[in-house]
Amino acid sequence: MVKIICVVWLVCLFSLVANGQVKIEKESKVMSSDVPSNAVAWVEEVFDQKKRMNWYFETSGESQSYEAKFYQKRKKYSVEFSKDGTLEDIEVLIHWRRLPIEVKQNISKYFSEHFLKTKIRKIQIQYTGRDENLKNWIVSKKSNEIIVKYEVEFYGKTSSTKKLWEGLFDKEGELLMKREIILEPSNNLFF
Amino acid sequence: MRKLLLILFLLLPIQIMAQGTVRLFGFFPEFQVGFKATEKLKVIGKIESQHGLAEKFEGEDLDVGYFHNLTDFQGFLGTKVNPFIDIAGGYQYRVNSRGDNSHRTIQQISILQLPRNYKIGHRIRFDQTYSPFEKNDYRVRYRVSFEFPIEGKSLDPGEFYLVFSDEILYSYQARVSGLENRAVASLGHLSKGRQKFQAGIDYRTDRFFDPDLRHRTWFKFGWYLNF
Repeated sequence: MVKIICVVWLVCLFSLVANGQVKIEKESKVMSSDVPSNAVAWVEEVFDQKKRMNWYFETSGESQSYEAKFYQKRKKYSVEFSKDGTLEDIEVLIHWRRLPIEVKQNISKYFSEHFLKTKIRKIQIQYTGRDENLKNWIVSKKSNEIIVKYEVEFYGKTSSTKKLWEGLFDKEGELLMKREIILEPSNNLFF
Repeated sequence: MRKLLLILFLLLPIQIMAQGTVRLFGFFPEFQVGFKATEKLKVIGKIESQHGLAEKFEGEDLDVGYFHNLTDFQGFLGTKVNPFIDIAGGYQYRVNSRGDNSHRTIQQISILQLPRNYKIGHRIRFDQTYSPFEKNDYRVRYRVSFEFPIEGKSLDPGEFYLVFSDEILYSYQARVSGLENRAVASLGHLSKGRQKFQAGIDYRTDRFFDPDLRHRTWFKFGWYLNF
């Protein structure tokens, strides 16, 4: 009896494995020597930081990039570069209470109009622009030529759904786009 | 790093046995399949089987030899309360080597926390075991698990991870209470086909209220599929 059940199970397992197709996303830690030298030089020059910096190589579908992550002056930075070392964006982790009032008001308005209940998990300010403009902004905190956006990860409950979302808001706090965050199953922890 | 962990896992039971505290040692494979039957309904199927290799009683020599201890067939239906909380109910049929096969009903709530780059899983489970040979056994269990990626800031396909868990079980059978503890340390790998493989040590202690405290050490390896 046990043998029969085991065989049936194994047949089911192999048939399910054969049908499984997923999009592969991967990020792995790399040494700075594996990163394009112009990217490493840019971060070291602009942020004046060589220690406690972690580099990651990320692939998402066809896209590949390098990302430097580090803390400076109690802020967590992520600086992303394309595969050839061209700067793509800078993200800084920020607390809700430190957002500009107008941004908070607009994001709150969006939440109240679209959800019954929300809870923010993480906010990052996203800075994009030309290398020189971003460099000036980091050094002097003054630049009118960089684009500021807010990436907000939040839990949202509606009358029919309870989901995790990543919303991208513009510098005024108006929603540009949002996408659902799908958590990987954790069945190995629960069953 | 990987070699070091592997050596640690392999040596741990030997070291415990050398101290004379182990009563039972064996291997413990498990297969698990999970898939979404509908938008809200998740189905989990699982087989786990315990196979003894060595047994030692107080004051006696180590008895080395293979024996099948038990095999469990489990099925669960679950749903999400929200992205972090799941509830599930299940049934288990146990094939016991002694012939006293049993039925079990299971109810559980699980909570997922994502503090930084690792996962914390909490599981509160109630189960009721029915056997024609014994009085009904009622248990309350709490398990906390930690899953840490080894190779990056998050666990991605093709990478290794570590899992540590501890579970405390309180049982009540025929007006007698029992306690059991289960500690597990495993090395895992998430494959590109969304499969997880884990291998590690499952160390169980029970009969705390009896004069013969029991220790069981299993070399556990699991194959977990999600669709």
